[in-house]
Amino acid sequence: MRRLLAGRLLQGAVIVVLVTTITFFLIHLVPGEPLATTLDSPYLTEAYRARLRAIYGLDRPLGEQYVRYVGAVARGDLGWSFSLRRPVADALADALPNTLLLMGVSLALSFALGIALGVLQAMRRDTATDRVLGAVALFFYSMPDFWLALMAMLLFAYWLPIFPVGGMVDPVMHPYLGFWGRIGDVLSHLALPALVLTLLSAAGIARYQRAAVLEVVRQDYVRTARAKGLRERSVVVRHLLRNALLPTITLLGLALPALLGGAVFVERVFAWPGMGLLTVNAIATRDYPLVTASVIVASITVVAGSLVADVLYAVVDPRLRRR
Amino acid sequence: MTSPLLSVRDLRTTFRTGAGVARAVDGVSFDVGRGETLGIVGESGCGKSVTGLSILRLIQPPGRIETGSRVELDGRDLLALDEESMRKIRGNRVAMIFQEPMTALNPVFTVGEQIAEVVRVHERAGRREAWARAVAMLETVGIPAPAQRASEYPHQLSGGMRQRVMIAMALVLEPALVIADEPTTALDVTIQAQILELLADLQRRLGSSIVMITHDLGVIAETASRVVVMYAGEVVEEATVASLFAEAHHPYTEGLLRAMPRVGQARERLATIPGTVPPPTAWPSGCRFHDRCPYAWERCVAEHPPLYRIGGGHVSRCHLAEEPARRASPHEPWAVARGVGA
Amino acid sequence: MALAVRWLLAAILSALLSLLLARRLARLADAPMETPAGRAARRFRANRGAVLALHLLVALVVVTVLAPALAPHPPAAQPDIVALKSLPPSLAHPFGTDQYSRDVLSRVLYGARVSLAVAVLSVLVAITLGVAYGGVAGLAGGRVDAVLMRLNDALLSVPRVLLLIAVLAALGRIDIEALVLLVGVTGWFGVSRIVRAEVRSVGATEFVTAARALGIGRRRLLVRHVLPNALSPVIVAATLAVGNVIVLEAGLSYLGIGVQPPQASWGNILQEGAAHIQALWWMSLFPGLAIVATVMAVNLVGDGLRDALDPKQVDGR
Repeated sequence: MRRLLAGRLLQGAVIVVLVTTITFFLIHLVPGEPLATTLDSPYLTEAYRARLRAIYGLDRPLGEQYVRYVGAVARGDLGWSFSLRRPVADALADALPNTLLLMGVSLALSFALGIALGVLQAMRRDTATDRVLGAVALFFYSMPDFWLALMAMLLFAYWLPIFPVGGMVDPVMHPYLGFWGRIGDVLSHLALPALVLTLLSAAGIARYQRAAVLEVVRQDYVRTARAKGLRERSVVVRHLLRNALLPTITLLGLALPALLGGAVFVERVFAWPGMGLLTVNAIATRDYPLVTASVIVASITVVAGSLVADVLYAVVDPRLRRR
Repeated sequence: MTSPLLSVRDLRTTFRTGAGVARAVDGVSFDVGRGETLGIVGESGCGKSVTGLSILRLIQPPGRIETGSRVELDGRDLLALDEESMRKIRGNRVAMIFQEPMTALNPVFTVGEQIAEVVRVHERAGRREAWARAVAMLETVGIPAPAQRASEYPHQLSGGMRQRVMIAMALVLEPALVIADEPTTALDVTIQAQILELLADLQRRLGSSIVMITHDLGVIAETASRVVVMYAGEVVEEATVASLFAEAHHPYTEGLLRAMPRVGQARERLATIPGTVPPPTAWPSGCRFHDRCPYAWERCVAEHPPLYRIGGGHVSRCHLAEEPARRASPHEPWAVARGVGA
Repeated sequence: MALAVRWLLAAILSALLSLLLARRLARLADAPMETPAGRAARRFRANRGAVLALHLLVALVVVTVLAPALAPHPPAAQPDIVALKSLPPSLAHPFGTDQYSRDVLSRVLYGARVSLAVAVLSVLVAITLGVAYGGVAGLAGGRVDAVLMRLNDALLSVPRVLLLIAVLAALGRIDIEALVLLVGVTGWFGVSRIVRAEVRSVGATEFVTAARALGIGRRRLLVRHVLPNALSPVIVAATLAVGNVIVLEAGLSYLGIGVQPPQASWGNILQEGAAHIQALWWMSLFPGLAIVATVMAVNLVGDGLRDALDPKQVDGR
């Protein structure tokens, strides 16, 4: 077990380094230099531009820039964000918890909903329930996330003004609300984006879970369980589900990057101040230190997610445990 | 004669498939006495496994046991019971051993847990007591270091040991009837012998009856006292094992016996039964074996033979019982002429 | 020719093509000799949802190809920016008009061509790359295979959306060919995994060993013997990938970094309408519905293909 863990950690570290490197070189090798928005300002003289470039080390060869960057990151210095005029690390520290909140809630809800629906569908295979739920799942699964976000906003924020239109907190009232008031405020802002992400993820999970249950239902040990005289509920819960939930655990690992990608669009639509929004804005303003740092954080999250999934899987499936 | 433990009468089990209705078991009747071993033998597709599953009512839709069938255990019709009562019988009074122990055991539970589960469900036993009985049972079936093995998972055991676990699971509550569906088919020959010996030993000790379902006549010879031969969903012959091997009546049984390679007999080619088993959605008219039979004549195509009594508890579903002279003039089975099979 | 007549002709054409397709499928399925293709066709036909979705896709392709003839107005035309702008759906403009008085229905029709073309072409690029990479890795085996697959898995864990956003934003306005290439190049990692697994499993079969014993070289082995057997999961993956790319392109265009206006794509119509989501709701609704309907159909067909081609089907004990 420990060997598995160590191996995967090493692999993860390699992946993060690889991704960072690729991103770094990719960003610097495409047309449009870093600092472009700042540097293009007509108010700057050419001499000043040269000074700026020297300060940020942009006049050095690419290889040297890379080494300096890696060194800085290792020390915890993620650079300076031009567009936000603050250290990148600070900007990330502010945005990351918001995204984690949104993603955490969505992950939990979507897995609960998706697993329940998938199992229900499989147990009632080919009945009206199965077909209807399957069609609904397919409907949401085929949807662009930002479109669902737009429609949700249209429906529940504009036409039926139940939820606020965007942001994470009420820009005016929030500091004046009591403790519970503030929590309620965040929750009401969280509702729509989380709903959108949950529905979309749950649809995919339900499809996957349904197939997994159907696969297990065919297995001989289910028949053995019945032959032993177990109650149907025991057969389903103890024997069937225990096995059918295993593959869904791997989905946890895959769900994280998917949720990250979805979060980008959804955060944009609802102006939720998280990593996704930060990254998108950074890209638009060519704020390369911020972009690179965001991508690093994103890939760390992905790697961590799949590591957790692998470990969970090894814990739950005795066939994978080494003696 | 004491009344039989199990009495199956006119069992019909059908499956609704895309290609039509498959009459997998089409009017099967037999008895199993107390403490005796009845063998059911036949090729794959003859309906023997489905028969076994039907006795325990383990047939799931799109399959169903047709009305008019009767399965009586100690005089009680199992088919008329409600599901809860039936559940109490499964694993408890009637148990089943399956063919492939690797897939029949749940991979995520230890073998001890799976045996203990049977005890906990049927008898109000606590976890410790159930576990203790599971370990004891593992010892009974001849697994060394049973306390340790009980905490292991199916994938950690060898094929032979897994099958012993299955037997332990089936016999832990000392059922009156054990249905063994090809219990040794998936095992090596040497292990086969051990398992069969184990079953015989347990039967002696517990006094259970066994229904031994297999395609292997050798297993029948070793374990059963009476045997039922099935073909195309029907019983085509029933006899004591001695009678069957000494003088099989039905041409299909003859074919099966001839196809068994025997030590000491010089032969150039293995004898086979030409043709193939017909699909259960379309049983042939008349005698279902007619196109593969070396003795068949017109009557066999037109008239479905009943079970004729041959004498001494020996029955056979073959018109040769009324016209034995025809046995002297065999011909090439019609299936060969049609070009099907060798 | 009147517009209604043209739509009628398009409908007839679509029905004819559907009929032809259905007959071809039927002929495969009911052929007297059992072939794997025949069995797959039979299983596919049994899946009514998939068959229906297939016909829907045929109709969609017909409409898309004939868009120039079927669109009521030219998609870039801004006839009357004062009187005709921002009109809600009506008989004259079933999907309404946008803030430049362009007919949204026409833009959606033309957008279909772009969105579908981008999806299909980039999936083709991805498939080609993935098959080549996975095939080489699978056949090579040993160290080479291990290294190639580690690299592949590393690339697979990069969130594709973020990578594309980063690169596309940096490049600014790019033309469609470059977009197709980029999307394709970022999407082959999953395919190569599938192909490598298939190649390895097929490669272990006896008929391949027999072929090698006959002295057939590696490349010929790969192309003529191994690949045709390994292709079915690739076909399924490709079909489902088309659906994903349609959604992906829509998202990128929505962010402004995909297909650029005035060329219409479903995504950038949504982008133009997003700022006025409440006022011009038809611009957000209809392209989205088009996307959902298309991707649903593609997914149904993909699922149907997977069930049809997957040998693990339970046809009854």
